[in-house]
Amino acid sequence: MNKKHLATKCRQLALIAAVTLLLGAFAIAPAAAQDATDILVWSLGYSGDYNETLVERFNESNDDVQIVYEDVLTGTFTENNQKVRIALDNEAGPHVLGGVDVGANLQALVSTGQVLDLTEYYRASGLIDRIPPNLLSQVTIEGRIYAIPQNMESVGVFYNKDVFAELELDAPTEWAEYIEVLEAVKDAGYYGYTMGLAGGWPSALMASMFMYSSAGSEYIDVLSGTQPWTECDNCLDGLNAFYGMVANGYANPEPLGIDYDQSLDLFYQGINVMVLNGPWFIDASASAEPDFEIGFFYLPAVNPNTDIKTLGGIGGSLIVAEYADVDAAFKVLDWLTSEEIAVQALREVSVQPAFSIEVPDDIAPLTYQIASETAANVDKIGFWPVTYLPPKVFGDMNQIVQGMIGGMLTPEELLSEMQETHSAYLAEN
Amino acid sequence: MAQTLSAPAKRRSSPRYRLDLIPYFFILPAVIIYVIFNLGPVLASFVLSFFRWDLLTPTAEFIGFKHYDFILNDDRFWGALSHNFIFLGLAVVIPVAMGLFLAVFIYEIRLGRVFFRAALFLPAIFSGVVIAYVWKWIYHPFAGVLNPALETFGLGAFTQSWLGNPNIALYSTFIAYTWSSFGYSMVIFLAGLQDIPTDIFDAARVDGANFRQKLFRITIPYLYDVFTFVITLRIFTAMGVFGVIYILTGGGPFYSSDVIDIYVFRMIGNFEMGWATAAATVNTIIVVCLSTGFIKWREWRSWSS
Repeated sequence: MNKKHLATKCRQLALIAAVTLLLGAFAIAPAAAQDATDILVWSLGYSGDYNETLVERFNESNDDVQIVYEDVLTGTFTENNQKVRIALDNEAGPHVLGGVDVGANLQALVSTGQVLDLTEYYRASGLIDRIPPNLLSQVTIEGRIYAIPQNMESVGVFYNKDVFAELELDAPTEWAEYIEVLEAVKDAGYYGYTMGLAGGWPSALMASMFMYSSAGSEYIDVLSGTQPWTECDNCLDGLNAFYGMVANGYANPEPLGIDYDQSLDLFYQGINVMVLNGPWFIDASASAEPDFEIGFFYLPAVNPNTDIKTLGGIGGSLIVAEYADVDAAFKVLDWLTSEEIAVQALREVSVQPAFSIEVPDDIAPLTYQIASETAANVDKIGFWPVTYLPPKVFGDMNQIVQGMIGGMLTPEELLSEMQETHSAYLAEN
Repeated sequence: MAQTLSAPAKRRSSPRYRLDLIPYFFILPAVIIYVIFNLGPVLASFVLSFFRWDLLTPTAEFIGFKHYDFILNDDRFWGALSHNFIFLGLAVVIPVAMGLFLAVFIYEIRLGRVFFRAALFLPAIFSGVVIAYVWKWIYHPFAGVLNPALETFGLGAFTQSWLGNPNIALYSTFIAYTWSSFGYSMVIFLAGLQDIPTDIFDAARVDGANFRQKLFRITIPYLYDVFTFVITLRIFTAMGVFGVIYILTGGGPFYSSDVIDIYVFRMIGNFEMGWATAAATVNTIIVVCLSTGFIKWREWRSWSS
């Protein structure tokens, strides 16, 4: 090999090295920018566009972790549960997921090892001191904590303030006063109680509201299967009170002929004056734009000695998939459970956080009232029946309550039917 | 002689061999698709019905016929099945009769035939979900159009909660089903009518046959096979009705409009996969028996006559 040839070879090698280095430098630059860990999210536990708003805010304020949002949970409650469970099982689902139901659904996810044990995260982050014990117990399974309660809901009565003013009525605090209000509203040609049960699902919730209101924690024993339905006399009183809404003409007619949304239209149109609903109703009502102002009070207890004030519980909880990048996922949790984001959610979409915050007094008065009352009564909340009941029995309960409202069953027969259904399921499983 | 005999034998066997395989080769893609997407899931669901499985747990527990035992002793299963049979009884009469009547009407008219054919078939092309929501508002006890229409025509005594009354909820859903399904029957009958030689009608007209005589002596006998097809189709759809009932009533009030597919859907929603597939298997067996029995009976009637 002569010198000239060697020099040529060296020049070629130098050129190749220079080009390689140049290309490498170009390749490294974007790689550094893309170094952030992606966290896939299907929901942050909020409805509608608010999920996307939060994702944008998080991504703007974080470089090392970025949330990738996929709007997948667009189906019904059942369909969404199926999507989540199947996706997690195949490690193809979200890394962090909000809005997960506690109770049977969370237990199923935990039993199949799909969600991360968050007990240590709770201790390290101090979250354990910020969540009321009764809420924490709902996400604790065999001594380990698997989810973070996100929002706290309590059901009460929203009323048409204009009609109340017109009839010179005050928000009732006792059952007798509530009945007087219903009578006055009825005499004035309105319906006091809004009921739309055609879709089935609100039936069990409404009946449960009245049973909690009468039987208190005894009803929890019934739902848990430790006390027979047929031996709960206070539950029967609650059911009679609920049935009285229809029998005494306080509720709109044909409650089985219209569904939940159609019944809300009756309220927005001013035909019905009161509606039993949760804090999410503030936004729903604002979107429907009724031309009157709404107020709120807790349904007075049927039995003044009840230890449960109202129906409600955890509206949704945050979980982390077992296969997620733990550090990145925890960073998202830190951000979502921060006081700043919780207060923003309360202010912007009226969602009451489950972890303790200082309720700001510069928010909308109705939101402030409900948030304050919910926070004050957090230990007197009777949890959603599906927290205790197997989903199948809860589904049956919706139909069975329809049977009572339709006059096919008496309240006593409803309890017998529930006992039969519940015990048959427990015996089978 | 032996050579003479053996040579043609070889020639006969060779083309026969090719003829036997080639058709199978052509239908192979369809068979594969059918096995993967139809037969496979049916067999899998049948096998699954003997297991307790929640869709996610890695292992399923074999429990034999326990799901079948539970279902056959479940009043709600029998209630749902009886509603399917009521639906079936109505579905093989009303949409079929309407379809036939409208097909004959369209066949007879000259002016506006295309318009009527399109207009009457239109409901059949809508999505079942859309139809259910339309009827949901038609039946609305306060804002619906049905009750005010009845009052307008002096039938105020019949106004009621069409979906909330457990005695009529099932029939109300059937009306919505009929509205969406008679168009199919009509189009199939119309196609059958085109096949009837026109000279037979011409001869009947010359002989002075009236409409009723032509309908019962010519049209219906000539549409014998079409009837078999249309009614078999109705058996399938009536026994598998789901969407319209699910949206209108969800099977309520108090299971009064529950049908097997809603029963199955509820079980799937509860992650009771074995239970759901056992109910679906029973329904499949019933549908196969009904449709096969009906077709065999029609064939026997056809041969015997």
